[in-house]
Amino acid sequence: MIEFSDVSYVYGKHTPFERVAVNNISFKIEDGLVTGIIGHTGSGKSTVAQMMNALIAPTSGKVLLNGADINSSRTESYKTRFKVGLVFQYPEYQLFEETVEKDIAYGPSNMGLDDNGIKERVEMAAEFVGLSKQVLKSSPFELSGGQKRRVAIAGVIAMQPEVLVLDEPAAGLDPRGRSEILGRLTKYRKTSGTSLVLISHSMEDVAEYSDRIIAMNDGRILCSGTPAQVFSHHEELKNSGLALPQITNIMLKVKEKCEKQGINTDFLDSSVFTVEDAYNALLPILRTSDGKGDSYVK
Amino acid sequence: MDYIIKAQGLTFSYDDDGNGSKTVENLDFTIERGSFTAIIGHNGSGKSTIAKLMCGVLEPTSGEIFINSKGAGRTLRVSDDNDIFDVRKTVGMVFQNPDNQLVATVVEEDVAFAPENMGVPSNEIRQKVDDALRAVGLYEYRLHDTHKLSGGQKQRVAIAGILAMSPECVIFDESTAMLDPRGRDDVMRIICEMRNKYGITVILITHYMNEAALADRVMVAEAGKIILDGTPKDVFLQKELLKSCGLEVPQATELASRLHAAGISDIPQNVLDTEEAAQIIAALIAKNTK
Repeated sequence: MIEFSDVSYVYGKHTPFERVAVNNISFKIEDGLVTGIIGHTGSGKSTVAQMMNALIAPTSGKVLLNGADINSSRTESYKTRFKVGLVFQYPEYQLFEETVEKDIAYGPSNMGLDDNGIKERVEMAAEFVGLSKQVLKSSPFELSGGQKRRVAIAGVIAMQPEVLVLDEPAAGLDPRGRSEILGRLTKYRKTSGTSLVLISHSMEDVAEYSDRIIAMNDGRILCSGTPAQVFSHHEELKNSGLALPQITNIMLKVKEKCEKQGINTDFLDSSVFTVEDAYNALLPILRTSDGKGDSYVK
Repeated sequence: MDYIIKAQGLTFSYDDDGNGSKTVENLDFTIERGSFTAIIGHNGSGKSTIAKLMCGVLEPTSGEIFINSKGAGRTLRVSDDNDIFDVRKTVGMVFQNPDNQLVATVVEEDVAFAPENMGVPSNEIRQKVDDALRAVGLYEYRLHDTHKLSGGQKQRVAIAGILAMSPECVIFDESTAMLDPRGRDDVMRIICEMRNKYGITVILITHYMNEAALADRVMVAEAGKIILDGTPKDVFLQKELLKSCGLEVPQATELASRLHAAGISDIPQNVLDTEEAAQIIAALIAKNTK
């Protein structure tokens, strides 16, 4: 479990460009869950991600992994980088090896595993992200953008981290590519027990795939909790430059329009955020409206 | 129809000998002047290649693209070296990554880059730059450092840089993909304004179906061909076909079409946006309560 305890981070401290990126925040990333982090550009979410695996150390406060301060010594920080895997935005720009296989093997070989161990890790990681054995022998630079992205993610999965932190893993992919990569990651979470931290601008993706959401604004936590709890803070989210999932927007507008006509809408659950939930919430209500209500069996 | 872009037998292959697989294959289409067209398609469907062919960043393997330029007062051929400068004055392009297209360190200098290169007199440049920055809402930022802006602001500077050239058509190649929701909204609002206020033809390449829903016309690219072409309402009716191409429909459309399929026939299948969906659903609930 990762725990942030009164963590702040200041860029350019003691210079004219001093800027507080993270302002005294505390939260926990629970084991085995998908935690989504949302926030507009400059809200501090990427700084938080970099502190999760000791890439940068907080200016004040502590980051704990399973109770131990990850910045207490250089050895501790080094160990943390294998336990907390960090996948940056557009990770495909970081591929550098001659073959896909070698690129994925880079992390595990730095962990001091033997050749067989490395091979096993590479095959396991490639399978999780859906890369065929044939692709392993080719150059990463011959692949399509979506495939490159998967190679980069496999390189981090191959280290078998306890926590996998991904910054915008689906950015720039088409709808099928998005749902495939996010689907594979959640499946990986289920089979391996790895916790996932998903940083994204897409409210729809975060709403669909997260168990917990942390919304950030101006270096602080605006609200956190289950997707339903977080997306019920409509006004705060909008005011801090975040959107609501499209479906939540529809439900809110329906409520507003009904209330304008004096219709009580307590029966309508506006905290839904997926098409499936909205469909299930609306269908019985709309069925009764064309006289078929009695025949509707839940 | 007053067209601005016309493609005839447009074919492009990334292999030099032209015998390899075709990224774009034998396309014929025209883009109407002053229209807003969205091109959607999965990664590798050829949509970005089509965009790059339209403004002369790439040259077709065979076939032609004609630009009906008012500024040049004649029809230009994109593959003609004598026409290419006029083509680039007529058709501008905004790319995906905001960090890849700013050339100067100060906002107003970046916006002035193109008109300076075009030899516009300096007093006119001042006017053009100020107008362009006002159009994208960044006039107050004219003296700021470009590299300290947010992604959305950088894209708006890039758009201002193109507006300062007074283009007749602007192509956006996934220009909102790297932005946060606020940045995306800002850029989409400016795109709509460019068309509505200034009559600039807009072509938007996007992975976001709700952005495509704002266009007058949606073209769906698949394996180098255009497989669907029509109004958003017509195109998003073809839910299954779109899914088979790795695409989807906007969530509002998905919800409406599922409710329609479940027997709520008062809800049309091709609702496009959240406002429309909410209106129809609310009206139906109101009807029921009376």
